[in-house]
Amino acid sequence: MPEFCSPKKGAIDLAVSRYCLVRNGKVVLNDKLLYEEDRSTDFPSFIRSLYKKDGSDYRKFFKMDRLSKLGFLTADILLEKGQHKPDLKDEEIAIVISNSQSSLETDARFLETIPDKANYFPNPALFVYTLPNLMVGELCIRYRIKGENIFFISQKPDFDFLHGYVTNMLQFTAMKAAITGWVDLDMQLNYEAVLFLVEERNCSSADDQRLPFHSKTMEELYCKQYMRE
Amino acid sequence: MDKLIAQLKELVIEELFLEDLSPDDLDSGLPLFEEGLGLDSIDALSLAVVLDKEYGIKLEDDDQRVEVFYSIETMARHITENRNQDHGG
Repeated sequence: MPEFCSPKKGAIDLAVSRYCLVRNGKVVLNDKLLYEEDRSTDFPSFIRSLYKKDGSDYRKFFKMDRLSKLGFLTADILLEKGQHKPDLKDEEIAIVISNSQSSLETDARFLETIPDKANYFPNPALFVYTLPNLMVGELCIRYRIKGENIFFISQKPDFDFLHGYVTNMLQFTAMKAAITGWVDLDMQLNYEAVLFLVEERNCSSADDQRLPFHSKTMEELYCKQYMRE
Repeated sequence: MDKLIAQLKELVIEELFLEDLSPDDLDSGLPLFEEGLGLDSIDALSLAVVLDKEYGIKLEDDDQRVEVFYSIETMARHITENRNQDHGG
């Protein structure tokens, strides 16, 4: 193995410190139902209510696209407006997120601003969000996270892949914690987001009550039955 | 001027896709950038497009853009002083 890929230390033990799940009008943080609206509430109304409930008063929220609003609020609740941001250097925290739709909802809305060659005014404010990485960028700006970040596209959440990628990243790079998960919004404005805060264990596993970081852990939390009702 | 300010509030919300805000949420003197509404240079481009498309006004340079786009009120004042006749001046 090349030298730059040498493990930082022996096998590392990772834990899920916190997780947040948003789906069907419900918001769950660490197994606790934090907020609930009727599942038939449309996404714009739901996210607007959730922003008020979150109380972050972050003015830049209003200019984000819908995917970024979903990711931003899920992360804001996960980290409790930064209170639970890992106590590490900004460069040591990574973000690894995936979804199935990329930024398609925003892409389509941008396309609507350029329908006619004779009346051609591409909208820069919307264009800037026609990549899902911008959602990650919004999190980096909000929490001053300067570590590795990447966005993957897959048909459905691939927790095996995310687990492997994050584990390798924390094993072989300077990263010491990661926000990872799935933030998805489709063209019909069906939404779901699950984000996990992954950190190294600093004490013996017996004393640490946090969940182990395994793909099975993420899958089980993501599939919580009551969130599907 | 009040009518123009009301129109600008609608346009800003529409063109910047600020769907969670209503015209009543926008004070005409509120700074649009940085500490106010949190807009950035990309949004300034969108506002420049609005000025051109709706009022036939093109801005000279970045300094002028900073001055004109400070708030809805400064935009309205600039439009009133410079509106192209073909765009209903």
